Amino acid sequence: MNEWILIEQLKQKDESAFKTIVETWQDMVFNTVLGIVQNSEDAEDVSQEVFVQVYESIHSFKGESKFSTWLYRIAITKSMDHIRKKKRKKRFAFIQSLFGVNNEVLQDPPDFHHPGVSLDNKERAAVLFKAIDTLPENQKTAFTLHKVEGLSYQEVSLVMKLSLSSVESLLHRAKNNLKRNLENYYGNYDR
Amino acid sequence: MNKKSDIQNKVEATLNSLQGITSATSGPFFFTRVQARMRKVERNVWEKISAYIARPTVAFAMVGFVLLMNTIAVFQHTKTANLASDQLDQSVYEEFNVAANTFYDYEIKEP
Repeated sequence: MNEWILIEQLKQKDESAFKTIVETWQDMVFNTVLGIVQNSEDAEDVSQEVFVQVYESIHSFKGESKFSTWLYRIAITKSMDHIRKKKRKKRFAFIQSLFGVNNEVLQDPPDFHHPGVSLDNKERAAVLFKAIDTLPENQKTAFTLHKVEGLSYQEVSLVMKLSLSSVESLLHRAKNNLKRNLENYYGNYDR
Repeated sequence: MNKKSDIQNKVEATLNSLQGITSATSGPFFFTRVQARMRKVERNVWEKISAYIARPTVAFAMVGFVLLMNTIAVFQHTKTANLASDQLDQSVYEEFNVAANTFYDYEIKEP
């Protein structure tokens, strides 16, 4: 069915239109969120939140961009909010542990294995995802959209509302940062 | 030198490890779970409002505000009541020409 008809029907709170929208874009949203939050359960939760948000704020979608671009933006915003919330919780737990209020042991998250990576690249991809996690937010978003979601520079620029040259510069800086990070990792690892 | 190039090779291989990555798929019955979440969100709005009102700080602040408003109202009322009663006394004195004698008046002996 035509995207615009579905959107108009969703604006009338049509349940079947919403179901079609969810089923059409659920994997795209899940894959994007998973690349950013790097945890399957969290990605599932955040993806659900994305569609709840879509249902609630479909009236604010004016059709100035493609529906998928709008969806990507919501997915990225929700994923970043989730990461910030998680970091805040971690900091709070750390402070509590300093004062002896919380005796839970603070653990680093386990390595993330993306289900779409081939078996022979699994370990290397896990190292790369760990390095991606240390990038600044906008570099991480641009890199994930380009490398994990497979968007072109042009599409990334539309999603992030940046010029093409800004996206190129972001990705260049992201690659340099990742290189430096990985050189340190393998330098220390081989010692 | 050899070690450095070995590290460079590993870094390149790692950076290229996402080539050919396929899209991850969400679990089955995703739409059902979204629906369940929406119902939870609807219920949560009222739960959040009641939980917010029931917070000790909010509850005490509200009680304090009500008490403050009452105190202000009582003071205002007393003030206007006093003023009205003064005005009434004055008008009664003027109407009936009541002299407000003080004890000095009694002390004065007329020759």
